[in-house]
Amino acid sequence: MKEKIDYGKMILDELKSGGADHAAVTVYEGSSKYFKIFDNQVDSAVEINSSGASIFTVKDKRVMFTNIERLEEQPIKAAVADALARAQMLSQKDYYFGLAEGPFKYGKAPGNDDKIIGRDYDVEDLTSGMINAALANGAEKVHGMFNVNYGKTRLLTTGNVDVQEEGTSAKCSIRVFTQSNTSAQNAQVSRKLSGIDFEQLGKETASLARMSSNRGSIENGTYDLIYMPIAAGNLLSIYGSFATIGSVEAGLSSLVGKLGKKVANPSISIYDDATISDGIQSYVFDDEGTPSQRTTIVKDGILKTYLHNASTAKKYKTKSTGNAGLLAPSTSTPVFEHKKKYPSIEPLIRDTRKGILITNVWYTRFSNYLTGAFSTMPRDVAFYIEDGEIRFAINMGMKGSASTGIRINDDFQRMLENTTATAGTAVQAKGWDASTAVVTPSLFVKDVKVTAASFK
Amino acid sequence: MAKEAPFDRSLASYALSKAKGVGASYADATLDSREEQEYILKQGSMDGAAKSATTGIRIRFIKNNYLYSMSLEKPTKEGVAKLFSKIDRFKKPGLAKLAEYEGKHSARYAVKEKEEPDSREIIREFLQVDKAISKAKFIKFRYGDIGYEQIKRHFENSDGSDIESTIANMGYFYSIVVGANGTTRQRILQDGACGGRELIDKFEIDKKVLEDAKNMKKVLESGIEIHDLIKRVVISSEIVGIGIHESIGHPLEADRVLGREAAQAGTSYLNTKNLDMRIGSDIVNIYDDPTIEGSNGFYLYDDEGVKARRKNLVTNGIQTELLQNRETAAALSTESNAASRSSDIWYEPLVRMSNTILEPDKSNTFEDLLEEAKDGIYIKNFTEWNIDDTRTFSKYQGNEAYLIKNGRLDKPVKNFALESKTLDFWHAVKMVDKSFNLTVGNCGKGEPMQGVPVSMGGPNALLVFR
Repeated sequence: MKEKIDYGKMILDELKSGGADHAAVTVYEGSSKYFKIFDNQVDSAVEINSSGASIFTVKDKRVMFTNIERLEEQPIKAAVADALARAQMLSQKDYYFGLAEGPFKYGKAPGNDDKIIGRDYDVEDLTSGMINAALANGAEKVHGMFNVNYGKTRLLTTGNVDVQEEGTSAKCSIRVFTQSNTSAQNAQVSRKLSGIDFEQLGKETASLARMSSNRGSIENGTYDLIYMPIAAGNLLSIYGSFATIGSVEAGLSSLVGKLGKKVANPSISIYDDATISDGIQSYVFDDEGTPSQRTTIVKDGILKTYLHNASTAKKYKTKSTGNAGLLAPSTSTPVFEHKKKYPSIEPLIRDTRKGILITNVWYTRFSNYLTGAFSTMPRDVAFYIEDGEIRFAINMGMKGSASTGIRINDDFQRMLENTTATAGTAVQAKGWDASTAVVTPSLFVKDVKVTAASFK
Repeated sequence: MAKEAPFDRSLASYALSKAKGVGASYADATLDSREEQEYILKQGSMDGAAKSATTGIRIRFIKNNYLYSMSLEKPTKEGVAKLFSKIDRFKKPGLAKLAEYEGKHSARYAVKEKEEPDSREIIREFLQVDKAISKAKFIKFRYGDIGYEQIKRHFENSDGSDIESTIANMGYFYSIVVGANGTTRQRILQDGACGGRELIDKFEIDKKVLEDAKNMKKVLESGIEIHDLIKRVVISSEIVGIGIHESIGHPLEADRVLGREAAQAGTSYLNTKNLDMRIGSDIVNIYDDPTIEGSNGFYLYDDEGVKARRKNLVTNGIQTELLQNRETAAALSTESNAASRSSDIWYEPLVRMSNTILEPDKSNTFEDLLEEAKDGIYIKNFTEWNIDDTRTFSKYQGNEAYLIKNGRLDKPVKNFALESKTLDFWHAVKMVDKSFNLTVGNCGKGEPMQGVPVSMGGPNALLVFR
């Protein structure tokens, strides 16, 4: 009996004989599990199992996506006929220039975890280590999510690609609340369960929430900000998407028209890296079979390239960066590097005269994508720093709440030009509402406008 | 015309029997079949189209006070049995408990399209719309997306409920960038409702996009910046809507109040000790109602089989009701009011809004609001917005806004941000008018993040801050 993953060739042959000019078929199967942690224990288990095939087909520059659920001969024939008929209804995509042409040589696959594939783990044992470490370090309430994923895909294209890949990943997030009304959130991600240190995660997050027992208020004004990795990652995951050519063409990017121009401090380089060995977004090949790569987006502050698939690369007379997305390119893992590095945040705090340590942000929204002007909300505890010392946790929200009561207002150009240093080891950071994980240390950004709630 | 659902209904009762077999104290099963179409235009060229058809089952059950949710694409008996053969087991008891629910429903309902979603027609009309928009050369970037979906569901639970629904939905999204005087402004417009192709005309996409684009151009060309303290602000239904959604609807979701979304979509300024607090002025009456026919947030039974009804969230300024599912209702010793929703069966149902509305006042017109304001600012629509984790202070960045001078609209104003505390905002509501406009959204929550269709709004309102 055929494995599901073996139906790809049948689908591709059917597309070719139906007259498709270009086609890519992805056959997939996978499962995800989400264990929610609520009030210091696991509360629920959600399991998602999916399988099927997706079809990308182009006929006379008419671009159509569809799916096939039932991998059997007749449903495949019907779905392919339907896809090709629907493609004929569309108008042409003038700037479509074809799929990547293989065959390709691929690099080493990133590592996977047999324990995740074989479901050989005890959720209570793993998460209780984190929860107990947080409680032992001053947390009153611990919430979070432990998530494991497994997926297998086979990709076949009319560009001489026939390649398979398996992937595993794990993520554990934690949010703690203390009796003195502060909160902190963090997460660890890895391709393997052994890459997550559950106890360390619990201990460090609880300790962060309790870094200062003092509470205080600040005035509206400009402050030097230290964004810890989860906070920096929230912003940089958006910056990564701004580098994709699809965002640029749609006017949904602050990098429009900036190729070859200064977009950041000269000490900064930003990469998109699909080859990180423990990267949860790493892959061997992109959606059209181009081998994965590390792409330099910004080098020494200058924008070097947008992220492309084969078709958009041809349009702009450049090379694919291995970021297909067939309809539009997408990021793998943005990586942030800075020449000025403090070994940890403590010496950076000592060098800060008037600043704020931002531990987490959410709800980053743009008033204008083209200018990159945004505001974002510190979600968890934020500490006011004066003359090299943490003075107090900012607490200007409703009485009795953990809310800081402040908002950060900036734009990407200014922010990156004013990012003058980093601190600590770069980690894969992934906050709740960040679209991708980002490899980043803590960032030091000078002179950022911070506002507090008012009735104006 | 709706086709027969491509799922085997007997799988639902089979799943319930399997749940009983593993000792579940409660179980429900939802079969879901959906067809979706989507067409994308970028700068006038068709970027691509997508069509998908999926069928799946979600089985939820409670065992040893743990809430399990398992979903499977293309379900079969063998597949369902396999899911039950490898459920996760926990050593100590969990926390989950569902509130008793007296209603045992056997219901069938459908909101179908009046006109079939003929692909050729949708494409033709959408291209026409875009062509009309393209004539405004000051629109520097435009990106449009139109989609249709039809969802058929069959729900059964161990309480004996048996509910089947068919809902068709159409919606669009347009992002435009307007340029003038060397600067730009951005606007995203969207709409959605139950129905089919007939809605494309009703949406009036080109008319709305062009009108907003022209007004944004005026703001760019002649907008003034205001740095004074403004205490009288007239806000449109769009601003009322986002304000209700972010600072009333979300914090009144009972799972946030209890802390169950603390590591995901956040917490609330409400807790079990400050319920029934005063949130706004006496004229603030806010409700959530999924039963509004044709609305973007429409349903008649929620994802736990509870019959939908209007929820009076705020009455005369006092918080009166939370949005509840059966789990939060049990924790708060009350009844579910049918707020359990999921974007599709891959995800667990959570406490969600539907159509969240500020009640209008028939005795006032928009001109009355301006007259009462006398001098101030009118904010017609917004770009950037956000709110803190506890939902206590928010920002709505005006996109199109005007000075109010002697009770009349005057010069356009640019870059005016309404940044206020939640209670200040709702206490400042002095007058609302008789208009009634809803804007739509796709509301994100949970982990993995899931978006459900909602709407929000009501009348225009006058805020007078102290």
